[in-house]
Amino acid sequence: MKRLIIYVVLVLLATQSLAALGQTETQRDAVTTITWWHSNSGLAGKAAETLVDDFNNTVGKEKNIQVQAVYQGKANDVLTKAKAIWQSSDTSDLPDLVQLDGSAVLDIRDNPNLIAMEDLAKADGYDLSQIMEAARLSITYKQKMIAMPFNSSTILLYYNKTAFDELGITAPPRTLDDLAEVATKLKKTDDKGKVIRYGFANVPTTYELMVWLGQQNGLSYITDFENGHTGNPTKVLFHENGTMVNFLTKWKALYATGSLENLTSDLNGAFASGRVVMIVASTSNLTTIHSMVGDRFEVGVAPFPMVDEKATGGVNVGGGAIYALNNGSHNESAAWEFVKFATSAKQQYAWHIATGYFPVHRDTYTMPEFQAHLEANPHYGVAIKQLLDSNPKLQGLWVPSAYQIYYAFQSGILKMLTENKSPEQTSKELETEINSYFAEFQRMQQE
Amino acid sequence: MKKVTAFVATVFSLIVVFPIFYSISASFFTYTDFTSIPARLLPSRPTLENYYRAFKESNLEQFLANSLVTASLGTALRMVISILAAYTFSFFTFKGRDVLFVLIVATMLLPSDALLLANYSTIRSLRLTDTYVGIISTTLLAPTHIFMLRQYFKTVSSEYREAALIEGCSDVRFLTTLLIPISKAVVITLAIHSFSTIFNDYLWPLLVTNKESMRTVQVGLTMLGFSENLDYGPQFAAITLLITPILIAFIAMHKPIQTSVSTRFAGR
Repeated sequence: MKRLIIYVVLVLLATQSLAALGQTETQRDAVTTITWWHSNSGLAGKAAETLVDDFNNTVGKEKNIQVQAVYQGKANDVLTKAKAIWQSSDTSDLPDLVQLDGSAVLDIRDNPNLIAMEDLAKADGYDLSQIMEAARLSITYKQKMIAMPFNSSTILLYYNKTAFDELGITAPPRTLDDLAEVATKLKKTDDKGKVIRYGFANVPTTYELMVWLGQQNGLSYITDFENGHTGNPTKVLFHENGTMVNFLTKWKALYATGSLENLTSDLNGAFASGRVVMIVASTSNLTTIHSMVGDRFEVGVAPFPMVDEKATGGVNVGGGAIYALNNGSHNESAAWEFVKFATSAKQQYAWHIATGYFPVHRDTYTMPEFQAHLEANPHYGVAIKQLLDSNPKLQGLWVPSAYQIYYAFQSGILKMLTENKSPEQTSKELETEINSYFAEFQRMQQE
Repeated sequence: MKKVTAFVATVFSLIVVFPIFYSISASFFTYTDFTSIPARLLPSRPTLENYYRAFKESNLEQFLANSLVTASLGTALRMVISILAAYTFSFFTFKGRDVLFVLIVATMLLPSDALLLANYSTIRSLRLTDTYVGIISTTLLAPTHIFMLRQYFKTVSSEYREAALIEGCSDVRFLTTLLIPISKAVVITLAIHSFSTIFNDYLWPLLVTNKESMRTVQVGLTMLGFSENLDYGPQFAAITLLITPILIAFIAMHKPIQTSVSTRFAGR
């Protein structure tokens, strides 16, 4: 009996390892196989599958390229896995293409295995100006587009239109001053003076501040090296250029109205339950928020509120991108074919409909189907118009210690409100704290 | 005092049971049940739709099979290795035994995350990615198991073994017919624990597999949802399917588990 078990185990193990060996051999056909690692699950997973099938049956068939999409877990896991391989000496297991989040940029941008997408496009004579400038710049490092923007989103103001209508408020707030005024009107208290409905809820983190600081005076940088897009940042600029003080002054005034709730999580839930009338959130939350609210009230969306009338920079593009990697197979031109296909006007339209990420190809916006779609879903129109009106140079923040900086902003601002500190002092303290993270990073780099 | 104990025990068990109860309940939710405010505890009208979709939208049966194979195989091999090692450490005397034991136990201090990349490189150079062996190999040596079994075996007097050997009984026979049966509680507890940890592992199986046909169910589970969508139903259905076998095992074996937990592993 024992022997039998051992034999069974051995056979099981052997067949499995043989199967793995067989797999590598069948790949050496005339057809070039491109592997694409991604983290698209659920709806986005299905859309990615359709995209790959479409490619394999059309362009891929013609050019003898077959794409194999491999789901590698959540965005962070994809990075962990890619990291595990490029830290080992043998990089032949790297995929030809990998889709990563914005947070992965720092880990991958100086990697010797990275093939800059811009070089692949140039080799093919592809005109990159077909890709929206803001999206292109969102993944540009040291004047080079290192990857292809793919799942892109921006930030929006969501408001409870029914509550607005009840109070006769006709237009969503344009600036933070308007926001404070509208929020005060929308605030509701019970008999004991306890707030039962807040006008607005937020505690700004890197995500919101990238925009609220960046949009000031047309365009302002948060750190040197253009928010880290031209090199590693060494110091923050928000204190010396006054953008932080300006923002914090407005924010403190908003808090003073008593209509701002310092809420750090489940803002969607607070909004959908009607406890908060306005929130800011990613455009990729549109579908979720709509389904959470259901028919409880009418949802309105509006451009992200400006800090003041001079803050005309608009919003930045966030999201993920597809990177090409060198794994020694020299398949990069085939990989490029797929990237080109995936970001073509037609495919970006399909991707937008399925996932809500906005199209990165400019021609998508002039497609009649797309126009019709925007008419039927005006909320998407607001998000897209806001983006088109934005300064494309307004870009996200690429900083080391991103996690600590995120919480530094959040706790610094909370402290200002609860301990009644001055905006100047808060801004100065944030400058000192964040600069110390940069200095620490510099020291580590030198060692 | 007894009332206080009962109260504390009830509170703790509610905390433990609630997520299990909720995921079972949520697996029968309709789409709108997830977004209702206030949140629901029970489905508005129970539906099997989520189960149907969980299987339709992914290769759930394949993932489940892979997880069952790796968890059973891993547990079996792990138990064999642990029992033999513990037996050696408790009944044999040889040079360097204690040093060796300390070395094995010392690996308990190594966080598994720190070994992830090194283990991955090893498995890859052995060409074991996308194999069951690759998935289970790093879990085979379980220092905690060896430690606990050794402590338990040490409570059994070595005179038993000596007497058995004099009567002509071999080590294997002593181990299988006497030692394991009297250590049943510990062995079963460790086996169930082993099974559930290997079954629940996420990052390692993800790292060493690329083919969808080799994915385990924890990886498959994340394929069912999309962070920006509230369509949690199929995920809860899959979660319910996952916890059921382990739950049954725990309930069926609660007696031996109880015994082993209440027995002190202090040794003599």
